[in-house]
Amino acid sequence: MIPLGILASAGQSAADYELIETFVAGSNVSSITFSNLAAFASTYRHLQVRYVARSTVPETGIFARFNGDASSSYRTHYLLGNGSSVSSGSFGLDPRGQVGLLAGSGAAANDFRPGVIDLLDAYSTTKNKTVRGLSASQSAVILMSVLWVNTSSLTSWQITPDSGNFVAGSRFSLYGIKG
Amino acid sequence: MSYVALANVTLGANASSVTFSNINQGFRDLILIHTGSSTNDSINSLQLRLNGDSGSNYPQVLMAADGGPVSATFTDSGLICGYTISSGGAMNIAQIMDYSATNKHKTALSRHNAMPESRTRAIAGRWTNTAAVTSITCRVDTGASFVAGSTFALYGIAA
Repeated sequence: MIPLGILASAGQSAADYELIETFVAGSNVSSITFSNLAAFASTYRHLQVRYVARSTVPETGIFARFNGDASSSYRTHYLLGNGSSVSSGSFGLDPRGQVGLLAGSGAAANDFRPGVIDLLDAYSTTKNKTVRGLSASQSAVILMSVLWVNTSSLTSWQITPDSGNFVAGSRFSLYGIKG
Repeated sequence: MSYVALANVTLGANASSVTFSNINQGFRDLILIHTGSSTNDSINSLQLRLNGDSGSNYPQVLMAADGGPVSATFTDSGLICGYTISSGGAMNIAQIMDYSATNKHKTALSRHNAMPESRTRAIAGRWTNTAAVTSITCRVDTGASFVAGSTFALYGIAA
């Protein structure tokens, strides 16, 4: 057994990866939005959302929309393992991009499923924005990528379930990563 | 600090398991990174047992590229973080989310890559227990040992 305590991080700046904001749903909620993200444009290069959530409807997808852009500007690709087969596909251009999966109403009690979503070069004004996600529902694991065809610097990041609401207790945390 | 190194272990000798105990409850998520090989000359699962629970309490689903695409569901006696083989070259990363919450089962996302066996896998698992995670035992499911030089790093992600 190796006793564990908090050790000084070795060779890693404390500010290279920082928590910006955490939202925990106190009641069922239809969406969450990280806003005022322009304030971090000079500090971070990439952003990451980490979540543990479930929806009020059967197993479904989780979607992102940036800067409030609801135009048909998002293309999604995925690789999905559902426990019996692997499938892949793409869709878009759509008014939002699917970044992961959610456990749904058919999941066991206390079963909230995780996801880690990376938005790379979030503040670049010379690149379209790209997102990668690894997440799970109660029956599948999925790798996703989203292209937002827009070179605007990020100002907001909205996250919604495909339908229904996020269940109370769902948690979303936004982190900034320096580059 | 938002990404804190909690412990780093490099094995000086072969070991049947590595346990991180008395895990600080002040973070949101844990990330465990393993590199190395095992003594068994076959593909072994790298298994994480939470709070010493060795029961069949870890339902999981995997997606793999093992020369062809594969997906499977299974229940194990630990979270399968990845795989390890005798020829080395395996890297496994497990993210255990909301590990200190007491109103949720514990869920994990893992990625595995290995050469020279040329495999990559993504695994999602759940520990059907709402207890906060206070210890993680890393072991090889076949009872083989981790080879000297194998590394284990545990990080806490800020709440």
